[in-house]
Amino acid sequence: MKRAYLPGIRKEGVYALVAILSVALVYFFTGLENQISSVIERKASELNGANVEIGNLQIKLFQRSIVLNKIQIAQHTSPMLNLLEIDRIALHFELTPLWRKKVVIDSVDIKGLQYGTQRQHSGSMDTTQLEWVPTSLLDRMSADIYRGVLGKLGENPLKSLELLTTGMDLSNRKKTDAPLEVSEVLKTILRQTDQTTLKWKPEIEQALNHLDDRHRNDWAKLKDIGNSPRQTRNSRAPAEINSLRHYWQEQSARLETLLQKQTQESDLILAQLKALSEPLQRDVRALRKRLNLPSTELSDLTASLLGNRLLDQFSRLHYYIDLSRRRMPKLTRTGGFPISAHYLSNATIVHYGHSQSTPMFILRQLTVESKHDPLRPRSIEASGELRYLTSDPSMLGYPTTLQIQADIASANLKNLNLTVMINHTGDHFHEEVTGSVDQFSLTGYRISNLNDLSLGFAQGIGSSTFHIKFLDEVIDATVDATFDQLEFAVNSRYKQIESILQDILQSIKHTTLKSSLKGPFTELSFNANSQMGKDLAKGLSRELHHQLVAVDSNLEKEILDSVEPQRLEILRLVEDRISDSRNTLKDSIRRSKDLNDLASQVRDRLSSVSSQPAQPLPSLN
Amino acid sequence: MTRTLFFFLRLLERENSPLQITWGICFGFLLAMLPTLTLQFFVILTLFIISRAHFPSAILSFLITLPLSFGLQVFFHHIGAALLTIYPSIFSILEWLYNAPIVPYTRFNHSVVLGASLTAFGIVPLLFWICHRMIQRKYDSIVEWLLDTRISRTWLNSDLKLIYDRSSK
Repeated sequence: MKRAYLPGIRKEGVYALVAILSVALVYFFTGLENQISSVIERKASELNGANVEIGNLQIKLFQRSIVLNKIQIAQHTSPMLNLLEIDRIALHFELTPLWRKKVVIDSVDIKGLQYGTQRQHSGSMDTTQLEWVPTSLLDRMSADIYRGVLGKLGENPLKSLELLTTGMDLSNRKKTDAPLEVSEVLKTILRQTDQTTLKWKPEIEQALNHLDDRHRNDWAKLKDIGNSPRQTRNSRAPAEINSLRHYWQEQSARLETLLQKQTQESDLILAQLKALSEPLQRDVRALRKRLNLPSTELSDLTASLLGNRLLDQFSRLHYYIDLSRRRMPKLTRTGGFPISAHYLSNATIVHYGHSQSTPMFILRQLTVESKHDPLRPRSIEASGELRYLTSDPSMLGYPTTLQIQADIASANLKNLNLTVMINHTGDHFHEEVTGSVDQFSLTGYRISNLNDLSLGFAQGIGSSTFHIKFLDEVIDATVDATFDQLEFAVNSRYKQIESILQDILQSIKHTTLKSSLKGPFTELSFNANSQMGKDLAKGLSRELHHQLVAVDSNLEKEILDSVEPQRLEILRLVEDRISDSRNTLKDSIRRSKDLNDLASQVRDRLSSVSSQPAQPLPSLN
Repeated sequence: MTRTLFFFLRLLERENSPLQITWGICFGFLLAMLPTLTLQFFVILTLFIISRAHFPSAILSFLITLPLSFGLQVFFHHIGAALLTIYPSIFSILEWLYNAPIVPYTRFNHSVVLGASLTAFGIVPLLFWICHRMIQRKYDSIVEWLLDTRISRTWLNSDLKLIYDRSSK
């Protein structure tokens, strides 16, 4: 008899299962919509970094559509405003791919698009209530790469204008204790001088060693020879005299060389003392910077004035690019087989399939169509189309493309053409954003907002073209803009500042802006130039220059006064040590020459045949 | 109160053959090991609900295995990731499974799910064989020992037992 290993069926279990399934079905048709809506809200909020709210969600299974009404996407920077508000989003999906766990959305229609609308309540996410910080908030920090460039843009030079009103009075400014370069240079000179001059004395002592005794002996010997009668003279006397002459000539030359060397060294020290102008200038510049005094070496202020805004926009765009890269699986090839994988902290999710095979999620087409509604000023007249948005384009084999044409009447923005291409189909991440705006209003655009100064465009229209390319970790972006019919708005509590800036800016009616951001993330270079920036820099430099000349000479004088004791110490050291050694050397040289002269006289006397009595030979001093 | 007590006592008493206890242990083990929200989890859950497996032993097995399965998550990930990404020779099979109907709902392309599922289904036949052998061999002595305990004797000699027997009929 065959043994049974199965436990058999429990009738009550079947009933319980049927009951559970019935409850699940009821829930599917009643509570599921709210459940899905809240899941979408939570996930989208995490991605956005601020609340995303859905008015209501309807799933129409038999019509294969999902409709979302009244969607509000809050701005993470201004939580009381909506980044976007959409009246209705309708998704049409396919049923059969669900059998294979593929979500294929045929089309998404967006209607009633508005931007920057006021919210009833704050849209900020309360991260303290969250068990974990949403990844999006961490992702947003990836935009920090631009901070390096922002740091290089330096201070806003318009801040310096404040000084024109208060004058460049340094008396009330805190002097810095930082070491001066001049002082450091003088310390080095002092150390070198001390070492150099200390060597002089032993050198001279060595040179004059036994020279005194020899001098005395030779002098006596020469006098003996010179004064002795002819008949008693030694026949070797002329040779001895010549030898003495030669010796003392050599000594004289040696001592003169030594004197010359010492003179050169002391001259060099004195020259170093005089050549302090370069470090002095550097000290002046450093002190000026530390005292927060402006530089007059301004060539173009475009990067300083407009750079922050431009880089902020780059970083926002980069955030979304980065997000798409993080959310989409990374393509790898193992043994020639392309797989793409999400590498999570504690798991890996792998997707299989060659190019052209269907990934788990596809949005085939997203269309935006909305008209400007005069009753709702923030509404956007937009039409756009997005194709092949997928979680895994590397498997679908198509790059994701988005084309948008929009007019925003409230912002006086006309004909915005935007093309976004996301290509993660190859081995590299590649995204490109290309676009142009035919016209946008500059009214109310703030260039700089400082404590005592507000500078912006009172009027003006602009047009722009841009091309931004991300290839893996490299950015190549250019933004060109033209501004016309410019009128500037300058507000300051100091009338002097207003008049200076108005004088500089009144002639600027038209300008072109060229900016570029290039390079790998670690070494980004940002350039921006415009005629407006150049004219501003020129005018500002001119205004600041004449006041700064006086300030510089004051600073120079202060620095020199502070290092005067060091300078005097060096001079004293040189003077003291050189005067001693120089006198000794000069005396020795003179005595060497005297002895040499005596030798010449004695030689002459020996060779003289005259019977006349000879002049007495000089005695030793 | 008495009814609830009798219900649990009946649960303990019913489907208590060695085979049913073994199935209960295996179901409990599988339900603890398999990640939730996967097709295989729901299939096993359904089978457990409709089968005449011993319920208390399943609960006991589930409670013992659950902390173990949490502790072994990293191990499961390594097994799953190795199978999913290292051997190109099985990629074509995995690709076929990935695009097949129903199968993707097993979430086999998730390293932890694959590792845990394979480990669970690999161990369960061995667990069944060992448990069945042990329970068969020791069943009578365990029952004898249980009946000989002070609690059992108190219970068997109590009036409550008479009421329970009557209510069971």
